[in-house]
Amino acid sequence: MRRTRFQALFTLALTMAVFAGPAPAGKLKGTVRIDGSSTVFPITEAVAEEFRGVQPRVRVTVGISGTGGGFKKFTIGETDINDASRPIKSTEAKKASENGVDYIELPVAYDGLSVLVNPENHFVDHFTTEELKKIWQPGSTVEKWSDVRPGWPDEKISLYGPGVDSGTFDYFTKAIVGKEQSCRPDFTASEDDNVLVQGIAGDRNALGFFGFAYYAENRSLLKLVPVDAGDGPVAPSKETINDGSYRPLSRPIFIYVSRAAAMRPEVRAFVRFYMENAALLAAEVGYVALPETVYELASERFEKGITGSIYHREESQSLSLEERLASAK
Amino acid sequence: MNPFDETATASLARRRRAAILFRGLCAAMTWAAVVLLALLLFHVTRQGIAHLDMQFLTSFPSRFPEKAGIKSALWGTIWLLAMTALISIPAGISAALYLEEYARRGRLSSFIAINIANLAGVPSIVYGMLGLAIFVRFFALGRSVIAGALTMSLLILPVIIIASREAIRAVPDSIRQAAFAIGATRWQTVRHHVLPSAMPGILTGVILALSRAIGETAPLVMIGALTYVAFVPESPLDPFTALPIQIFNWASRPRAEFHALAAAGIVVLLAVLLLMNTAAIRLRHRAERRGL
Amino acid sequence: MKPGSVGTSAAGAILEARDVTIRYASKVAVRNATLVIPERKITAIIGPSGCGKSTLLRAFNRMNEFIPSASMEGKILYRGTDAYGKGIDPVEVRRRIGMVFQKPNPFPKSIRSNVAWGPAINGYPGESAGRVEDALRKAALWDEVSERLDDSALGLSGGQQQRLCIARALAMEPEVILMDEPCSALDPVSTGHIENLLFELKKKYSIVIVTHNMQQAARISDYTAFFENGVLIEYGETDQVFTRPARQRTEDYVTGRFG
Repeated sequence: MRRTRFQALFTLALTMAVFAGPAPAGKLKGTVRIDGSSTVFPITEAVAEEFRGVQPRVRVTVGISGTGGGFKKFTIGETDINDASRPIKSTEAKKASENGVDYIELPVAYDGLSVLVNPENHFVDHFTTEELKKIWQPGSTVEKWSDVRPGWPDEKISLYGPGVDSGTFDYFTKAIVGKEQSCRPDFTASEDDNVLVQGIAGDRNALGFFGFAYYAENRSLLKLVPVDAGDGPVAPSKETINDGSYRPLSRPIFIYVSRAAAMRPEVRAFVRFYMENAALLAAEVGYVALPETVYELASERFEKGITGSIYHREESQSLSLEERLASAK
Repeated sequence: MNPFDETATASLARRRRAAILFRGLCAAMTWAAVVLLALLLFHVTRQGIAHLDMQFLTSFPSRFPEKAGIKSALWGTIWLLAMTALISIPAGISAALYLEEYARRGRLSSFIAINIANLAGVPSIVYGMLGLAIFVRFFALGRSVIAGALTMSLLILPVIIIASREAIRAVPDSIRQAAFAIGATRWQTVRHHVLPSAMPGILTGVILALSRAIGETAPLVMIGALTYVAFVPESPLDPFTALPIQIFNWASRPRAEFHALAAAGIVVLLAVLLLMNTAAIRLRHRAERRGL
Repeated sequence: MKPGSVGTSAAGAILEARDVTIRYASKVAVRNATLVIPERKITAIIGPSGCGKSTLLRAFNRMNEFIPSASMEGKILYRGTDAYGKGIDPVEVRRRIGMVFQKPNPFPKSIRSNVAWGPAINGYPGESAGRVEDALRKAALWDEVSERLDDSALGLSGGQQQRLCIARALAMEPEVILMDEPCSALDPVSTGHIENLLFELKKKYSIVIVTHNMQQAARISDYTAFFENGVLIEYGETDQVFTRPARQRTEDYVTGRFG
């Protein structure tokens, strides 16, 4: 009885060992260590998965520590690449230079933050950015729908949002309230976006925000709300995110590559592969691909080893991603 | 005529009612726990059943749910548990033996005992922070299996030490006296009599401790166990992922197909746990039989 | 005569307590006890509960060292050598001075390994099976267990277990066997077995037995020491102690007027 069970276990172990054996093709070896944003993770994971078909002996590891958590490891040289759902902060950049870590900043896709309500909510047709700010800013007095716009019902709003350590939260607060991390505290926060989906789907008076990919998978449970930034209400979609008309809640997401690590052939090969396949794979996992020219500019930036952030230059504040990359050549 | 006193019978009826009530209450509590567990099991199994096949066990994670598997996480967990057991069991039993058999009973040893008991209640994330600072950074072990196992060992050591101490203390002193009286040294006494007699109790503690370790996510995330790993660790210094991390990752994906994968992952985790506990219980039975 | 220094017969001495005082923390358990244990005789130590008789017994083979609060003054001599002297290993002392406890305490192992373990760990040369049989025969247990040596010792009756404990002590080839109320947990039939066994054993071994049971002391012992409140009141030939005690307190105790 005992013997047969252990035999079964052993057979299982053996089977797995055989499957784990080395496969042919691909000459490179080594490890590529990646950590960072959970928003960027699906794209990086997809790239890593495909890369394995090309270079099976290169071991790519991808962690999820959040953009900020990932930068903490990246800026002390513990990782080769950091997934980031926002540009590197100047404090993080300072820490990197203190530790002698030069980084190459490469945009990989667009992500649209979506604003959502319960499908049974029939009165909300769109929000203006001012209304969103009024709701979410610190010290907000908005408690009921009627506080947002006259004519809306006299019922209490329940707010849902991602955890305060996420790049998504950073980005939303920066874009809507004007300052990162500046937000009223009384909302239901979860690092797990599925919790937010379920929360909003089950609460008639819910209002929340999270990445577009989660809306795309749960269209029937949620109602997407267009946002008016002054040019009329625009709902996020591939088109509106791509052409920049869905603003201010669409953002580029990035990978940051350590220049020292990029000297290693396996890292170099991985990043090249990333740039070549990002457009396809980003779209596949629910993100919006960047324009082809942007990927070309980014590849060029990588090949030339241009370090620093395109967001830390005073003169380029109002430029588009493409213009920024081009001007930083 | 009834020879039994009637007044006593009246109070007896009341007492019997109370006894039946209490017994019912205990049974209800037991069944509530069993039914809840069964429901949970049924739920996750039904959700994950479609994925529970050999391919799931032998594939690496993938963005395509139908291709995704749990191989790296399963092996990561097996590596992690094996090394954790290898580190924590000898360390825990040694500490318990020292405290029970060697150390002088005094303020210092009760101070140590109280602290160990308190450590058992420290949130696991704290151990993760400790592991990150000591093993990953200071000893430069990196985000490796060995760093994870050392961190997990710290986490479960208090449980093993406390359970082992109880088990060692329960070994009757007369056994030790008998051994000493025929010229055994302390070590011979411990090795041949105290440890074998305490082993069933120690194993119970080890089962509980490792069962805790297998489901822990927070300290692993803290020391940087990874989410996407498409290889099996080959040495203790290799990076790794583990079942709870993989499950969490799938559960937080937007697509519902991944939630089914998470359920299948939970079934695998429970199966590993069951296998491990079965092995430990068998060992315990053997130890008990040898004892009697 | 001063109490505590009562003399004894002229038989050869194997153990001697000289002015022994034993304390548990600050509580005195045995006070200034001096007595000589003769070779190949049965010496009984009697007295009311808590009089220090077991404590003194455990001092002979240094078993009190496992009680952290116990401390001892005075000397214990084994064949004239200080058993607590420098360079004397307590393990060596216990090998020569065996002990049987109040409650039978066989190891939770087979009958065979109960007997064989002591010689094995002490590196006794020679063949184990013969040694086991020899010890079991001496303990008058062989006939009852020879067919089931590999059964658990815990399956034996109380009396058998106690004889197994005696066999375990005998397997060490000691010269002295200390017995701490060895029959107090046994029924009369088993007690009879043990007492008969003691008569056999004293041909080869010196036996010190602590007992509560005055009839037992009178039946089996050659010498009797009477302790009260940690003080040796009287020590002499058993016959004399029981029939013509030198001291009134002894007479009161042995005739059952108190205690």
